[in-house]
Amino acid sequence: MADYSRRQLAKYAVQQLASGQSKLLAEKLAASLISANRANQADLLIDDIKSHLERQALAVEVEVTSAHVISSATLAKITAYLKRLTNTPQINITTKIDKKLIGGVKIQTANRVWDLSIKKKLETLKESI
Amino acid sequence: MQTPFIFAETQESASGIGAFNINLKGFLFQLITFVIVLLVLRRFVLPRLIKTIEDRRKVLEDSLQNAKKTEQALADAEAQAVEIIQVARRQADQAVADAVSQAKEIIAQAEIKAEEQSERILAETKERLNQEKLKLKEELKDELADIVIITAEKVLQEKIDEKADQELVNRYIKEMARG
Repeated sequence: MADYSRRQLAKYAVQQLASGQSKLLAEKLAASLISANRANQADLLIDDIKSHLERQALAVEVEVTSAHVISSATLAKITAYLKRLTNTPQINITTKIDKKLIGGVKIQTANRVWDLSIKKKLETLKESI
Repeated sequence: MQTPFIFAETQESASGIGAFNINLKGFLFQLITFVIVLLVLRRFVLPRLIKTIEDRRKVLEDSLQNAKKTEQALADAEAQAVEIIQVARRQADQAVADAVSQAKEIIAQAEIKAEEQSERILAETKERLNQEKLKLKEELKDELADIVIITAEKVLQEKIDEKADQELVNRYIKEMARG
């Protein structure tokens, strides 16, 4: 089997997903990694696929982290904003709680980060001092 | 032929020369002898004597001249010695003066160098102290910032509850959406 780079594999995966031919895609990707002795790079490949999907405006995987539980209304606002910003119809949000943020929210996609947490603001304040 | 002599003798005994009791014969004989001796002396002795005297005179004269020459040479040598001593003294004085002058210059230069070095050390020390001060200031500022932030975190963690946080998040999202 030919040795493809991670980027080439990610591009192929996105093309397959876009064309709706996602059957056995995961197996094919796994086989390619194993044959190239790069099984430990599976997570990186997934990140590359996410990044490519976002660039192609096909889908955006979003991780929303906050110190407290965010209401669904707020999540809907975030989704609407991201759809407008990325021009992507499909936004998949996962939420995470991290008390260290103190307050506010951190929104992370494959290619971008919006850190609106209080922790980040305090760090910025410390640097300015 | 003794007649003239006898005649004379006879005549003299009576008057003039006879009064002095001079024997003419003997006198003449002595005279002749004297002349002979004189001649002999003159012929044989006198030249040699004169030569000897002359030689001796020459030797004396030469000695005198040599003595004069020697005296002159001595005087010249003394004068030369005096001059050499004077020259040497002048040179020695000059050497001493040069050495003193050089020593003074070396001392002056050493003083200047020492002063420059002390100024340089002082400047370096001041600069180092300044930098230490700035470093300390920065460290204090960092520590102060840490204390302020940690305090702020603690306070905010206590103050911000779920409701306050929700309002905060909504405000941030609104601001983000506004651009």
